[in-house]
Amino acid sequence: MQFNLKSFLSSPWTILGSIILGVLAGIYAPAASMNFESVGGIYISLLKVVVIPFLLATILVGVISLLQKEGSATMIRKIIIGFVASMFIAAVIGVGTVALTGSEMTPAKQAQLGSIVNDKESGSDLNITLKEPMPAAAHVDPMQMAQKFIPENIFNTLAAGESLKIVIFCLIFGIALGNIKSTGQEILVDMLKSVQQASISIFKFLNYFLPFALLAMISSQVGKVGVGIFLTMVEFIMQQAIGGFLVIAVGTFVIWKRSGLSLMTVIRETKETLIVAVSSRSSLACIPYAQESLHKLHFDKTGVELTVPLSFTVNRIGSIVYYAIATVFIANIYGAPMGLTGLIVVLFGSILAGLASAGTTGILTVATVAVVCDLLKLPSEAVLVLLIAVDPLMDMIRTASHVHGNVAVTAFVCDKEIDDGQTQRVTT
Amino acid sequence: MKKLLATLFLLVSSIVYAQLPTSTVPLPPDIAAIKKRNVLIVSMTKKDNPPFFSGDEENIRGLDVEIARRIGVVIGVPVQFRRDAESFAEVVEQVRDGRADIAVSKLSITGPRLLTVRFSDPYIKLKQAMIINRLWLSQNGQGKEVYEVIRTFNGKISFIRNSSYDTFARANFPKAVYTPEDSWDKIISNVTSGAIAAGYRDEFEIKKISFEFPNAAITTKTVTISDSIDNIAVAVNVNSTQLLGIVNYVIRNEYNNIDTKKLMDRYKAEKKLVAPTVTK
Repeated sequence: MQFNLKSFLSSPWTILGSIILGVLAGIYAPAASMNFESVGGIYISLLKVVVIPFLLATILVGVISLLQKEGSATMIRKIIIGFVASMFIAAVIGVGTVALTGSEMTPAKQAQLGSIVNDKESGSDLNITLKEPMPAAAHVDPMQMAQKFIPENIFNTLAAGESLKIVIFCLIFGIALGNIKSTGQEILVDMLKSVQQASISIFKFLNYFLPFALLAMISSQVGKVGVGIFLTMVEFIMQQAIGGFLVIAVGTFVIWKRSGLSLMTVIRETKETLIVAVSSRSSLACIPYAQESLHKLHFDKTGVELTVPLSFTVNRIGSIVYYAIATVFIANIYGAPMGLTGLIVVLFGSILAGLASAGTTGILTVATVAVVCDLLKLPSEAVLVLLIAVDPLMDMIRTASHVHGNVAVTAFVCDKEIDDGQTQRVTT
Repeated sequence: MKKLLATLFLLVSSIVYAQLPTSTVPLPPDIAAIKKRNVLIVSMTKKDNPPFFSGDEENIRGLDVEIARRIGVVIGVPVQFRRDAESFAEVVEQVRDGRADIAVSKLSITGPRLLTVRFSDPYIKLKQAMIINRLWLSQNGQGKEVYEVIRTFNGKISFIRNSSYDTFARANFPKAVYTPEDSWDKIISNVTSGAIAAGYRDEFEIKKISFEFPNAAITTKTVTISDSIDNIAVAVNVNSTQLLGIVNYVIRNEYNNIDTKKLMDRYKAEKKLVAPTVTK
């Protein structure tokens, strides 16, 4: 058999190999590994460069096609049911995971965690006055929360890459466009479809470089953070990993049931999306992969094109699981008794935090855990340092469960493709 | 006769001349007493307080020890450190009752103390600070800003018994429940465990916690009160006016620019030297 470079580069074994190599390189040659950080950065940038036009095109096409199709009302209802149900399931998985795996916080563990938080060089945590007036605290206007969702200037929004606002704009604009009966609309839809296809071919091309990028990204990440903190936080990481695994398992089950194909086929078709999720830690970058895998599983194209970007940006499954586990972890650190009421608060609080975290990434997403902690009157400030320190790894789990969960939501929402000719086109 | 008178005059004047340095210039009584005793008695608390004073009699060292020795040099007598006071209040009492000449013991200037002893110029101006249990703060904050919670502090506040912070706490936090303790370490462990809400002391001692109790960082929050004052000075007896002048002279000339950072550097340097013995 002749050696095929393309199939070698896209083989899951190659990818697994580069992940393992990356971890080893990060542990044994951290300094050298860090030099390759920019390689991973370049790859993510290239992945993201077409995400915005792709997002715009795919949602607009999705909305317009949906409006022209029969049964759009049913689909919207299903999307809502799918979102609410999946958020609830995610919260239950999160709470269930910690409720079953939680352990006691010993003074020794507390000391270990404390020495990570402890910043010897800085002054005290806070400066206050007793009598002199303090600067007025930034007042949070609830209406300002709404601003996070409302695009003011679509070109600014596009330039800033605020995905949530782009989705809102596309929904509004798509509905308006879908209701116009003119040739202009058809031309625009054709154009957008071309943008979509061009973006997909760029993604596919980039995919060949994934093993190299993975090696660079993982080794530099491991090299930078070191393994010490991960050992200290091992319990939390394990809980998050179990939570993520459960979401992926439930998600796979839903996709399997909905697709009517064999379980192996489902796993084979969805694994690439998961790999991209773990390596890029960007759910946006996973959208084209998720859509393609759902096409391959013969789900309705129109539905997939709308539901995937919508759910990926709005339905924060990964974050909800993360918040539920993180909150119980924090309560455990402070020895605050949770009880059944506490766990119920965590359940709904993490859904709330998930909604509040829409449109955030990285540290901001982690900091939103304060939403749940405030409900339980728990201090989150100090532990945030710990959560941020291990977040490169947590972000992988979060993105993976977020992406896979929402692929499952899409599978739940969308019907099976009837037109066989179209499905054959996407099969490579 | 003339010759005899001249000889007598010479004799007398030479005797007078020989006596001049010691007996002709009378010393103020406070200094004279020290000179006569030929030792300057300096009071310090029994408990070590690095980098101010620490170590046993032979190896005693620290900033307060240096200041005391400089004062001794100016007077021209050796220094003896009296280390039997159980509390800061007792140090002040020793000076008040004349059992010690001065107290260089990281003493804060407070109203009640000023009624019985005199204080020198401060050689360090510290701010007051607190260590607060984070869980208590979250549960009692009621959505208020941290500074508001502290201004109307109504939890259990702990401080070293008979220290200046006993006075400060009663003045600044009238609604608090006062819980004096003998040991600062006990206070820290109580705040860390949540048994009491807050510990109250100067910013330097609060900062030191991060070195001595690294586990405290996660359960406690440190707060500096920037419009507060904790002036550290040397105490002398009310009658020792001349001695007070000498103390002020030493402080103004040699110890007039010590800040929290320099203090911290001293502390770190000392810590490194005595590392094996301070393991807790």
